[in-house]
Amino acid sequence: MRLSTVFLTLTLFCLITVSYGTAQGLTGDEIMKRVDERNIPKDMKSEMTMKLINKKGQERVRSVKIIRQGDEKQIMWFLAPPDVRGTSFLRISYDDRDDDMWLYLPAFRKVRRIASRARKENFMGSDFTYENMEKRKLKDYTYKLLREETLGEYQCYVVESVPKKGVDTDYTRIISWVWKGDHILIKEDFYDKKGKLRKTKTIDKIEKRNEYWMPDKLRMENIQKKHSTEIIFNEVEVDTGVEDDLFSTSYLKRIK
Amino acid sequence: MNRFTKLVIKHPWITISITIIASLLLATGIPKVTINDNLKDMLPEHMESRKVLDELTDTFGGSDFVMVIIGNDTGTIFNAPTLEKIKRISENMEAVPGIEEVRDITNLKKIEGREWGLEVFPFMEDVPTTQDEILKLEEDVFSDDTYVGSFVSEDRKYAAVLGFLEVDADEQMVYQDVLTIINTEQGPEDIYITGIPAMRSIVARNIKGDMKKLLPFVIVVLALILYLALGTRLGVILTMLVIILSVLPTVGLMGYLHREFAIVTNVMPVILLALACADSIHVISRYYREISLGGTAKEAVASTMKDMNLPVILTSVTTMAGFLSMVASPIPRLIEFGIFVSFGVFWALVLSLTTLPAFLTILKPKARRRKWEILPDKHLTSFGKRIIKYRIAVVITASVLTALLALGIRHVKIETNPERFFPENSEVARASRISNEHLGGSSNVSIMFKGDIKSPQTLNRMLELEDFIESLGDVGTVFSIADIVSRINKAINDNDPQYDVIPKTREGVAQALLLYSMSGDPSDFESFVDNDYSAAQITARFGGLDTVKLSRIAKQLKKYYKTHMQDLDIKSTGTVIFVSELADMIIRSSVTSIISSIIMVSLISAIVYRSLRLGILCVIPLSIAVILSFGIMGFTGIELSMATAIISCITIGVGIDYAIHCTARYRSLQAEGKVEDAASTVVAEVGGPVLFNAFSVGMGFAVLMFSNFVPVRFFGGLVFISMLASAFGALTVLIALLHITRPARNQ
Repeated sequence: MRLSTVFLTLTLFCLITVSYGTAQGLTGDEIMKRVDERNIPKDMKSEMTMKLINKKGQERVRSVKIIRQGDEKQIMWFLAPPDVRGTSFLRISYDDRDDDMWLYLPAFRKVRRIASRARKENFMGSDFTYENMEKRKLKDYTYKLLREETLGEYQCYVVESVPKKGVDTDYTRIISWVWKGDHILIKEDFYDKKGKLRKTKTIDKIEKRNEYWMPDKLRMENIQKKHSTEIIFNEVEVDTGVEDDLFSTSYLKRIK
Repeated sequence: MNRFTKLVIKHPWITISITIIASLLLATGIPKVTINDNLKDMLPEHMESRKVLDELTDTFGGSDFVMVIIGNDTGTIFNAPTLEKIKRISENMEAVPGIEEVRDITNLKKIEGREWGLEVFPFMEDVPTTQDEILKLEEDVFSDDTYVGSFVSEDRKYAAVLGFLEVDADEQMVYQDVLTIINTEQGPEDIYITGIPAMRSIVARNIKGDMKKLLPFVIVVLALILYLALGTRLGVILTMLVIILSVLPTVGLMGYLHREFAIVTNVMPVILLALACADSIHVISRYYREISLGGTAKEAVASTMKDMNLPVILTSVTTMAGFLSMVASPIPRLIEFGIFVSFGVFWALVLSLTTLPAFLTILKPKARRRKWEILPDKHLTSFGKRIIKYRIAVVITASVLTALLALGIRHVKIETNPERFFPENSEVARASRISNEHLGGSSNVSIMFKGDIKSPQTLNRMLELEDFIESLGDVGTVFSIADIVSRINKAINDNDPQYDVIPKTREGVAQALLLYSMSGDPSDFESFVDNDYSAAQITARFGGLDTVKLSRIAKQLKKYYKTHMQDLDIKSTGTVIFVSELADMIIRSSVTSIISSIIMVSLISAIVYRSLRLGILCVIPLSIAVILSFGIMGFTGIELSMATAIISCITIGVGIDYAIHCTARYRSLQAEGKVEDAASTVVAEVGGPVLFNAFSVGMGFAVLMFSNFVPVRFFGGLVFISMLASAFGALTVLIALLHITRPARNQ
């Protein structure tokens, strides 16, 4: 199974080719093809704040500095909370095998690998599973344009994606709201194997950086567990020319 | 009072209409009565353990779970079809409304250290099919002691699927849904359902079943006895009318006041039926005697009521006093029970003084012709004479017997754990036996630990407390965030067992938790630690042992807090604590209610007879009966729950009636100057009715021996015995004592 990089997954839903082509008369397949073909930055640096919100509305906040190259490599290190400051995380994705993930724990002076056995697992203890964040393969699903509707200030296509037989997924149905303007996924509903709505992902804020449209704030809500995660990006820089050797376990320990 | 009776006789229809309409109006509350057997709700609201439970539930979510047990005595659960079944049951339970989370070996996560790092993964994502895969799973499960003995039995014969309930879940609905799921999966494995919510649903269901079964049963039994006592069908019908019209408004009132039935208190309607018939028996018997002397029905009713008003009121008042003594109990359920039974007795009294004479006035029953006599006077007379002859021997025998039985009292055991209320061979008992012996049990202690939970000092103290709990024995599982942290630490350090401890620094703890959370679910720790790591919960499960053992555990824990954990903010709760507190309260409750009710009835008798001597003598036979019932319990090992506290009220409140009847007649004979013969005459005249009365009330209780609950069965049997004992005691010991202590000036 192929897991795309975390960075990619976080930004995937918003990084789009600026395709202002005629949107009329598109089929579900055509819409999702445009979503799939969006252009993404070569690299990106940012600060990311992750808020975990439990069913009582109590929050747990983490913030990290994140650097990403292409959609294969990313490294990040914790800024807060203080007791995990200096902890760093490296992830490298491959097309043909499971991702490699390492965590450096300064208190133990050890780099430990984390196994990514299942796409069902949660990314950084958030409500996003790796599957939620990975780029879905276009050919794995059948698409159907359900309707067009306005979501907030965005005019959207509403497309249903149903996995083809044999595709490894947690969901039986995904409903996507695609912004007509830039084919960005504004909202997605994930339905579980019993056909019940399990999670909803929404993008609250989109910004344009260089030629890329990117989300500044996204949210994943686990409807069934009443738990949600909010991710906010700050100080985003794109295409600054990140060095290759940044993405190694030896660098993990040095990073501060 | 006689003026009141005249009014009733003058306007029988109005009397009947008012009383019946009032009864039926109150009875409309019956559908509002609910059943609640939550152990927590048996305790007073101000109890610390109740508050702690609410706080824990609020912080960590509900801890109640239904447990489905899969497996049987011969096989192993490690085979493909059984594992598939477990997964299917688990998935179906996930879909049950009210179940928040399902935990079992198919979805539990294992924390494993590899040479290169840490892995957190479910034991079984897909059901293994090949023998090798199954062996691997078995190895995985048994390599980690966390789940053995709680989710899989040590001997591999049983597996448990735990469905944790949402805080406001409808337990009965959940139970019903889970039952439907397991019913389709039965065989070849046995599948059971247990756990506290299931137990409560089963109890509630059995309470309903008990009522449906026992109420008609007691009505039939009472009708038969009444026919024997009264000899006419009309008498039986009128008495039944009175007792049913006393029970309905009482239950209705419970409904309007939003009260609930629980085990033992659910026998209230049965008890009331048995108690309420006494007044009618006396009134109707007397009417037949009056009418047989000639005159009109109206006259017969008038003279009946003239004589009966006082004894009927007096016996009812003493019965009420017996039950009202429970107001002093610390247990809210018992207070309610006492009040409602008293209300029912009061209502029966009102009906016996109004509706009953009104009906007699209207229906004008003719004198009965009895062909048979159950207890012929001549036998009773000679019995009475012998009592007087051997009076010293009677008193000594009674004293010795009582003293011997009193020795049994200190062996009396209290049982408050609902798991033990079911007969041993019942499905429920079998399920909880498997759960207790193999899967961790369902009696629990939850400990709220406050402080900086990420601090190694706090975590080490938690482990220290857990070690102490382990040392108490009979522990199924003990678990907390501290165990998770040390397991992660071990995994970080290449699985070196030396590192199965808490990391040395706060950062170490935080980073260990972060490492876990990199692949864990955000809600994984929600039931172990609060959001800002300022409070954690230790949960311990014990095999559902008897109250004596659980009380010992609760007390040892309390002592340990005092000696070792004084500096910490710790509070504990859970069924173990509830059971132990309830047991203490029942003992206290029984003692206070026995003492206060004896004093009350003794005072009432003393006031009525204007004689302290008679007041004291009257309570002697029923004191013997109380000692007898507790003595029997002690020697035979009968365990009672709330019923323990109720037995004495009934014995005292009802038993006093027999003494009153005897004493009343003795006094009137004395007044007539028949001092020497008085005692034996009393036995001859009153002996029949008293024994009949005791027998009919006792039989009403004896019906409870067919209850679904073990303590209720014993309760029924014991009350039967103590009713007969107090009646018999009144006719022997009391008579002998009355004779011995007769005032010199009357001789």
